Amino acid sequence: MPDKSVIIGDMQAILPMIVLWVTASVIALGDVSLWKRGNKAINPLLAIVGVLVAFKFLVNTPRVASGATAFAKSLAIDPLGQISGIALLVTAVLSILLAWTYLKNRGLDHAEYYVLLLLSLTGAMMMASANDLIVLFLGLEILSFGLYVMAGFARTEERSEEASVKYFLLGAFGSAFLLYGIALVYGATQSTNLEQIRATLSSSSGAPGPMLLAGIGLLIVGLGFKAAIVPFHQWTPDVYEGAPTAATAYMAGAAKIGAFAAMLRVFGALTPVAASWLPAIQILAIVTMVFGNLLAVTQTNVKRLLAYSSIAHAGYLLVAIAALPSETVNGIASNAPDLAVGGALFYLFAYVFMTLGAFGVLVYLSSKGRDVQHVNDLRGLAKREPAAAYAMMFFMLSLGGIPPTMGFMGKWQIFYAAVTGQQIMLAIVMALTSAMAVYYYLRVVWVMCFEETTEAAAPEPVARTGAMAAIMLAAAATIVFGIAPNLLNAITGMGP
Amino acid sequence: MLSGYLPMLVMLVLATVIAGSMVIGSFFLGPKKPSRFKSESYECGMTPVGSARERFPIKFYLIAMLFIIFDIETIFLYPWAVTFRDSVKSVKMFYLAEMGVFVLILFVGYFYILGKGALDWDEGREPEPVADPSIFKPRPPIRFGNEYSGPIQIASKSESGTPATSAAAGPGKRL
Amino acid sequence: MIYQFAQANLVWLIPGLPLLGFLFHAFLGKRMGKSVVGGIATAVVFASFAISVYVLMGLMSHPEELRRAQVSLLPGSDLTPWIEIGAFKVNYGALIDPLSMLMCLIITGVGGLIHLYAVGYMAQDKDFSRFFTYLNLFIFFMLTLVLGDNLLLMFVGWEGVGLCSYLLISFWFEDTENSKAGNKAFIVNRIGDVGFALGVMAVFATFGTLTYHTPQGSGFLDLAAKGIAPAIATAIGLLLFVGACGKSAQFPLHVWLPDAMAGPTPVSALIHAATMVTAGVVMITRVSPIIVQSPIAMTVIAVVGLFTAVFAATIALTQNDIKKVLAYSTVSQLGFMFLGCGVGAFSAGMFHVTTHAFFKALLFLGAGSVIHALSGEQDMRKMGGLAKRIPITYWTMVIGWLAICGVPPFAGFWSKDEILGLASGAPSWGVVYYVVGLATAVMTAFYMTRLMYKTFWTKQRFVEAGHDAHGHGDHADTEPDAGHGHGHGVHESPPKMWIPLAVLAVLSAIGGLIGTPWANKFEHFLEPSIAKHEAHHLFAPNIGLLIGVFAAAAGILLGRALYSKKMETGELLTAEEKAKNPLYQGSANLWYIDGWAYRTFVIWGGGFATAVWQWIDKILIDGMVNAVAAVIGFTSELFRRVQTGYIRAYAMSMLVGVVLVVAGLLLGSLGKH
Repeated sequence: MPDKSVIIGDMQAILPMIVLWVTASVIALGDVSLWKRGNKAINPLLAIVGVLVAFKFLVNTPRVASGATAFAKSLAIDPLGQISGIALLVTAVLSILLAWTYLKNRGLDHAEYYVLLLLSLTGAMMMASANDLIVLFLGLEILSFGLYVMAGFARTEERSEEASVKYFLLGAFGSAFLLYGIALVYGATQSTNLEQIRATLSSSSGAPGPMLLAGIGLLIVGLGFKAAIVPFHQWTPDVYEGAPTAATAYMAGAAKIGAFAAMLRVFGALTPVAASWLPAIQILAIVTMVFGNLLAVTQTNVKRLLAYSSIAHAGYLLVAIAALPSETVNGIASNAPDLAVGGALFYLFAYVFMTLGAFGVLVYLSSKGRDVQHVNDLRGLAKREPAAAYAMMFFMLSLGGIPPTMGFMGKWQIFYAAVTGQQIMLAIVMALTSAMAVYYYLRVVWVMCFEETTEAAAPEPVARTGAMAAIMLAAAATIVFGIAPNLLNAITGMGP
Repeated sequence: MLSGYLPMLVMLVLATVIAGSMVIGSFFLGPKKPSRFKSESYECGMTPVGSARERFPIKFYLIAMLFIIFDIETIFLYPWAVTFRDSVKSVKMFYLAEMGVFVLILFVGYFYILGKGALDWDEGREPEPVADPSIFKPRPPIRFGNEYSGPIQIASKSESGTPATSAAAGPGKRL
Repeated sequence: MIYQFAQANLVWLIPGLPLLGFLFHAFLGKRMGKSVVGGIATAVVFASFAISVYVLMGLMSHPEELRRAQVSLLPGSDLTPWIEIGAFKVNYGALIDPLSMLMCLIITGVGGLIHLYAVGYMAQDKDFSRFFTYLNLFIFFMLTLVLGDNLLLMFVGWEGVGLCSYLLISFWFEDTENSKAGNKAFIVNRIGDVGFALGVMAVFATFGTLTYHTPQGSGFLDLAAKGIAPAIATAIGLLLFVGACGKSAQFPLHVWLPDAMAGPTPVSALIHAATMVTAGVVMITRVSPIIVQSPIAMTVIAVVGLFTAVFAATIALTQNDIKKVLAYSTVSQLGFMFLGCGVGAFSAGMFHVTTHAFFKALLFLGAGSVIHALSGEQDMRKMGGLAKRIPITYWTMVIGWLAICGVPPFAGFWSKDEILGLASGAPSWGVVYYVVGLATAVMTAFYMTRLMYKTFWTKQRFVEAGHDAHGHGDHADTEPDAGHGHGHGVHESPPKMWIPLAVLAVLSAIGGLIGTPWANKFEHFLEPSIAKHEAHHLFAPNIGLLIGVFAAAAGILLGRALYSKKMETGELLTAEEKAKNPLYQGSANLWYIDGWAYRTFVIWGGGFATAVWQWIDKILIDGMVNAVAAVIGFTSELFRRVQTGYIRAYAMSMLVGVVLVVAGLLLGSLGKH
């Protein structure tokens, strides 16, 4: 029976999520009553305030090394959940700033966007701290529903509609696999609780049965879909391209963080049977890195390019997952799992800053009559909009993993984890494909700096402050944390 | 062991018998005057065959969907009530509070759709003129990707001239 | 070793203030007036100086063996890790010891004076705020270089000052020559940087840490002091010395420094005389516990230093550009410092760094004042007779001249004498070091006397500006903007410029007294920072001093004897004699090093590179790369077709993926049993 202290502890664990939900409700109700005809700028402002309050609560939640749980062990209160929660809230702040500009300039300024964003953020946070497969699924669905609608938010545009429908149908397909996988794992281990699963698996001897293996395979598929891993990636470019740019930015950040936080947890719990699933992860990582980068090479649409780049980055993150089970190397206890988790989290932060920054530049340049997404739209940007162009240059360098940016530090950490965990092959593929990636990232830089602009003067956007603020925040973070990576660890409480 | 499921079996049989007898009964007892409209799949709502780009009143579907949402959420009250009745006293307040939160969530959604005007049937109002009549015209298919923009210059020139590349994308289809 | 002391929580302000200044100028500088920009830029550096003094006082209040503290460079925090990945860990921390604090005082003190001077010197420049942006950034990086508690921070500072040096050399980038000089400096420095980077890696590979000292004694210098294999010490020492050669312009990487004079004169004074070029000496002194364990590395350092000293001095004999003379003299003096390091007289080397900062900054600023007075003229053949026209500049320059010549009791005398004296006692080749060093000292005195004659004492050889068409820009080396707008006529510099001169003159005059051989407070001060190494004099110090005085006198008197007869022209040889004299030609043409390097590396190397490019690169490598690119492009094109846009196709590919993954897992487990 739950006594009082447990209830308070449970509530404390989900306080950030409650704050987000309350903010979403206030915006939804306020927009149809109090400020129905008032200034709509209050919506993004409220949303940002809500996210910041949630951030405050999240940071204030006592840090327990590990093992602390809430709601009958279904939610984990641990650094992984809290730090990926911080990453999600950072994503949200940047996305809200971008949406503020984008929606206004594109004539889509509806409060529902912020409501959906905050609610799906709740789901992502739940996913990141889920200690139970059912809760994980619940979080994933809450996250996804919001994203489906956000992808179709520009409902008068066919591309947006199509993106939304595609994402929804394929997402439902992917969720079904995940659910089936959960059911099979439950069947094999008699539990959906990750701790319990791990305990069961490590105590049982002998080879894992076919039911468990099929279940693990379907878990890989279901989570791999959200994380955009080849061959479950094909929705990514179409949805990224079709969705409103601000929604794409949010989707890129939140879905990736949620999916990888969940993967780190699930595969951490499956460590005792790592021998059976590790080859699959290794192959998927290689395929994802190779194909993501390969396909990005021929893209001329920046949103598509970033979509393939996000697939490639998912591949790099999978390398960290592959290093996860190396708890011992040659019989000696290894710190590879810690390095993998730390590296993946750092990389997710880097990914958020550089990807949202890059989308932010597109948002910044878009106006009502013109949705900037083709690489030719960036011609001569260095002369027209030097601040945006230089920020974009930093994002591209960072995505390409060139020092002294955050992208480099992140890659280095994952690389280090992979080498420590004896995933040499993956480390080599990672290095090679990163080299390949530099080509298409630098092409964007080249176009911005060395090609002359061809287009006529575009209509002046209505508002750009929000996007500029987001770009500058992201650029500053990309550089500062690239030079002083431990600063991020100090701020988030990450690391050893 | 399985005796616990006995009521369910009874329920299943009853449901089958009642539903079956209704269908069979009406088949034998009912008068049959078929017409074109009657033999269509659905009598109310829209014509099942024809252009998909037809205008139809969306209010019906909207209200139906909203009804389903609230209906299903209301059903949740029943199992809760059973659990609530059987629970010990010390946690009853907590359970009640939880249901309060649940109802609160429902009310937020309800007031939102109310404020949004989704429940206003409002027959008297003329439909607003469509801003852009071009949306009714036949439209070219959408193709995603940059299939039409050609490859960027990475490969040698000879490669871009081969038929393989120029035959890039056939007529586009959606979904 | 101490963890904390009361004053240490201010250490972060030492580099922090110039960084703030930099940010201020970078973002707001263009909107602010020149007085605000100049005022803030100067103020932050002087504030850093004040804090440095305060911190040093705190440090000195501890007993000698405790004068070493490791403190955070971030405000209000304990020592924070900067990068920490697995075993690789470096702090964002500062090592506070006499060596780093000495350099802080020099950088901020002399730097502040030069900032003040530059406010006057650059007053007419259109890019005033950009200049101070770079200058403050330079101070920040230089302080990072000397303060950092590990080699990686030093490397960051090292590259940072290189960047600022590049930016400031080509500050007037409209002139292609200046950009080329900037490029030359940058590229030549790259060679050294590679050596330095390799050295850093070697240190990490050997010791597993890059931190100098830790309270637990686990820093690599702590470990090295316990003894390491001579071969490793040699490898690390030589690699790091390659880096030092680049930054400190030692033969054969000295070629960039004279060209660097294309920058504004305050830059030459600050970066290319007083601070940055001495970074190599500081670095070698810092890692002295490793260096002393390798006799080979020591000998190499000493020989390269000595050779550079004499070599550069011979070139300085014939240069006509006033800044070039000073530049080669800087190269020569840096050679002396390395000679000191090479014979184990690290503190003597650092002493020379200190006095050299005083008198060479003074000489450069004086030269700048002369150039300013002549509205941009740098060619000494077109000077003369300035002694009465610009008396303050003249008298301060005289002090600088006496200091560099080694006339007691001026600053240069004591430090140079200490180096020579200790070099004489080196176990092998001590006598050679001494004799050659002494000859260099004579030459130094001679060419500096020549400079004084040509500039101040001989008859006036220029036509007053305003009466003559000769203006700026008809000589490649003239500074395009300095002194513009002052109208015409020779004029004394404004107080903003002569006050720093006066202060530096005082320092040049008496600054050396802290390190007299009878009471060497300086050496004692530095003791906690450097490795113990036995270095002795060949003969009693007093005799050495006497010989030093004679050498200086010889040079000066020789100059006087020769030039006092040529007061009209200021030229010793006629044009014909110059053309015939191979020695003169050699010296004037920089001993053909630049030309030779140009031929070897640029023309022959270029030819070789072209051939490689034609045959290997274009056909083999490019073929391979293009083939790879073509394959990538083709594959990419191929797989893009898979991206049809149909949901059913996507769902199908997902399904195939599902089947493959699940089947793979199941079959994989079958294969194991």
